[in-house]
Amino acid sequence: MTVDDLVSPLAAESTRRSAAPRWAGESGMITLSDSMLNSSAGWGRGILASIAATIAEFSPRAVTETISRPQIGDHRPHEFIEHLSQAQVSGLVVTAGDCATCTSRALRECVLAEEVGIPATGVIPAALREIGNATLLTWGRPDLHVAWLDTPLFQLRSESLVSTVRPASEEAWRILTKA
Amino acid sequence: MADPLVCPAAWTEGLPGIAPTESRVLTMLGRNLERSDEVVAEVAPRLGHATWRLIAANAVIAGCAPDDLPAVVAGVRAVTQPRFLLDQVVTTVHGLWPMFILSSNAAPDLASGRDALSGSSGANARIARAVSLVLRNVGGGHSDAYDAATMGRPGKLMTAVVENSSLSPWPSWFERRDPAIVDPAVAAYAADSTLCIADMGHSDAELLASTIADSLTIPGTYNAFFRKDLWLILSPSHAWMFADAGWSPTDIASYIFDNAHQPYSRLRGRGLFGFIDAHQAPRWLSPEPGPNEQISIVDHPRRVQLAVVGAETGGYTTVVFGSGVTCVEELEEC
Repeated sequence: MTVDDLVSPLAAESTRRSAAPRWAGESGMITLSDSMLNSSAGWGRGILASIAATIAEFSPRAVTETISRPQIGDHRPHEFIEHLSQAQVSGLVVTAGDCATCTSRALRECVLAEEVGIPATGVIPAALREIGNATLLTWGRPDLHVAWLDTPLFQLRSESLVSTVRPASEEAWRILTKA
Repeated sequence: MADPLVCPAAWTEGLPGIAPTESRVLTMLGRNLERSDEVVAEVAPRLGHATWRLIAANAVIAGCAPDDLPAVVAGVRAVTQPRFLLDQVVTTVHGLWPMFILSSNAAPDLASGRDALSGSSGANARIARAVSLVLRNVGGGHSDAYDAATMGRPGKLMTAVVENSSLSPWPSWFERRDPAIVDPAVAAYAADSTLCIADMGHSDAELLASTIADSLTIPGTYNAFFRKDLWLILSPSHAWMFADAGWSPTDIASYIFDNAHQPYSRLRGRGLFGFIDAHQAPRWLSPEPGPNEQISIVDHPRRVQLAVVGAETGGYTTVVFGSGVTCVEELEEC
């Protein structure tokens, strides 16, 4: 008897979801979404400030809007994606990482954004890579790139945050703009 | 060559499981064979489709008997009710995991007795384990995927209790909750750690109630912040101490609401404060209480859930801390 002779208890493979065309990297609105719960620590705001600075430098004609979107309680991603779609944003960058629920949900929003044609990525601490990759795999986008942040959140210091996050911010810009 | 008795390790939480052969799964399905591909529930976070066949395969691995299948299916349905917020329960860094409360008719052969909360109970070893395997194998709830618990807790492996109606002085929890609920039924609660309260040297119901109430006011629990459901698992001895003094479960719940409290100054800035109160502040925080205002562990007496479980001897109440609400599903005749 082999494993193939057994009845698998696992869910069926997920259906692949479509990827969005890349952003030209010129003009347009990029939404930066802070999904962290601990707002008083300032991690999400700091990371998104670094991303906004990178976009301003690499794509000076683009504008960014930063929103706070903590992911707790009832999750309604489709309403958010519909809003982004109607606002005709050119890209979405999420950050999360002080909460695994938020991380998974924020990345699901990236998957759904891509499905409606909005290029998306996340800047997420590498410590949450497993749940991030599991989310992307089972939501049908194992190929969606994430800019993983090697520094643990609790080691980010306000005076050096922008420079620490800079490589991940540049990576996020590349993910949005490159196929 | 696979061992015909042991299932592949990747399909379990680490304990050995029974290999889900075709014949064992068919036996488990029994009269439900025609419903094999019927989807019972979509299991978050991966939104896997839990069909009868998949649930049966997981029940085989857990060591269930075919008679257990209705309770397992009801358990899956209970945790996938939208208000249970299974997605959040599984993905959180907290150690939350469903606890199941079975009416005594839901698992007659697993009637609650000695060691009811432990692994030696069939309810734990079979039914709770089977539902947990569904969450793992169909919903992605394992630590290589969606379960990001920082530390977890031993009770995540399997937690289920069967009410001990034969030794309880009161109607079952299900009857008290809603007389319209058709027994047998299963309830699910997003549980955290348990705390065992011993109180055996007297027969004073009010003193016992105060021992329980005083033991509940711990600033760092999720209950201290959300103030939602709180389970008290009473041993028959404690239940009868209350009943003999004329206390009903409603009286106990009211006492807990009135007496299990702490001043707001003891809560502010601790526990979940500063983490999520800016985004999901419970209603009780608006307007912010004064420092000396007493904050009860629950926001209403009906949040206190009581079940009588366990063996005759020993005066214990086990508190099950947790988050959220309790969801109920009746057992379908299979």
